[in-house]
Amino acid sequence: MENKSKSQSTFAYIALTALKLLVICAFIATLVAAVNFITKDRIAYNQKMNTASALSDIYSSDGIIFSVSEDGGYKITDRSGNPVGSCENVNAELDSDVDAVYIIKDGNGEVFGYCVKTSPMGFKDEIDLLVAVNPDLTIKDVKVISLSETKGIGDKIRERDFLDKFKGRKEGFSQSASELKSIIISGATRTSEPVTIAIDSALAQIGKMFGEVAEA
Amino acid sequence: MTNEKQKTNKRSLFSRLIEGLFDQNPILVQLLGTCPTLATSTSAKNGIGMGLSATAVLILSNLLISLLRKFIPKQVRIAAYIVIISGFVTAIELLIKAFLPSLDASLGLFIPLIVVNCIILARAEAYASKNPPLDSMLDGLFMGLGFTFALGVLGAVRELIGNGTIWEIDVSAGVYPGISFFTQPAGAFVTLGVIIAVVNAVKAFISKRKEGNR
Repeated sequence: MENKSKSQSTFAYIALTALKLLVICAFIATLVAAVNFITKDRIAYNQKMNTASALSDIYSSDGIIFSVSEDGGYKITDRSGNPVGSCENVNAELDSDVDAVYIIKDGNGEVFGYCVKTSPMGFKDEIDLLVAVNPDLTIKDVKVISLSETKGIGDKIRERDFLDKFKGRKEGFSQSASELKSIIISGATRTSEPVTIAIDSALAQIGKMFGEVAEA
Repeated sequence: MTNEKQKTNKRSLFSRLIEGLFDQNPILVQLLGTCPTLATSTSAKNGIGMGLSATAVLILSNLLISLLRKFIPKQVRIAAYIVIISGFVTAIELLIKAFLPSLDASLGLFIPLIVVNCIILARAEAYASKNPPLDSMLDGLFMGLGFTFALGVLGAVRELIGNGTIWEIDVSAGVYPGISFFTQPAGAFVTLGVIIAVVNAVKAFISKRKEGNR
């Protein structure tokens, strides 16, 4: 009898403790969900603004500016704010390491370039990249949108010395081990290697999607 | 004992602020939270941003833990504290991402790591779980200000010596190229050690003068 009552009180104690922890978890989950609800649109908008800014940097020499349109896409204008083309997000099945592909067209509907957004895993966190490709499938430029790599080491991939090596290339660096080794930044291997591979994948994705168009 | 406790509770706000900033400073005296201190104090802006983020989490988590101190079972209190702290850190991270994107870009991964900042868990266990909500909030505020102060000073010194800038403004008119050692982790250790030594020397000087006056 005494044993039964002891086991009942033990069960009650465990159940009550678990219930109290559950209440705390539920309260915190509700709080986080509420903050997420308030901030999610703003965070998505900030990410789009960063991408638009990176696109504008890449195409600044062509005198065009990218901004976020009201429908959540991107619009292209000249420096006076007049529309000069379009930036379309391609709805197609993409390789797993590619986030998005954009086709940039001029005012006449002619393809002006392609852009690939990709996010390889660096040493600390994901690195958001934008790879711009010319209509002839050579790399126009590469832009780092955001990264959280170690200052002075991993963030060397932002430097033009590194990024300019990709300009004009039609084939990636990761085709052979010696080529890959030649571009890796010493001391920042775990940042520069995934970035190089991601840029190659972006180029391959564009080749797969628009190779025939370019050849024609 | 009761009188002593009442006396402690009635300490002036100013003396508690001084305690948080100097006498019990979490970084310079207690040497807590050294990992984010060294990692995020590459500039004054980053240091203060990190400090204020941790202060917000400290105030909110101290408040909630104090409110729930009689509800949380003693045996599972650490688990409950971690859930509460991580919830507030996630909320603060989302708010920074939404409204302070440049700070988010600078601090990146270190904002989520506030969850395991031992200053926050230490104050929850040592203070908030035993004291009323208002007192606990003030404790979070003053300890957070002490953390922010130390991070700000460390960040400013490293930024000045390492890059020749303060708050990203070039104060050497391009003459001083900076010593990159101070922007690296090893430079952070050396700078922190020197700041602690200076603070200890100042404290020793003040206490000697007080003794001399007696």
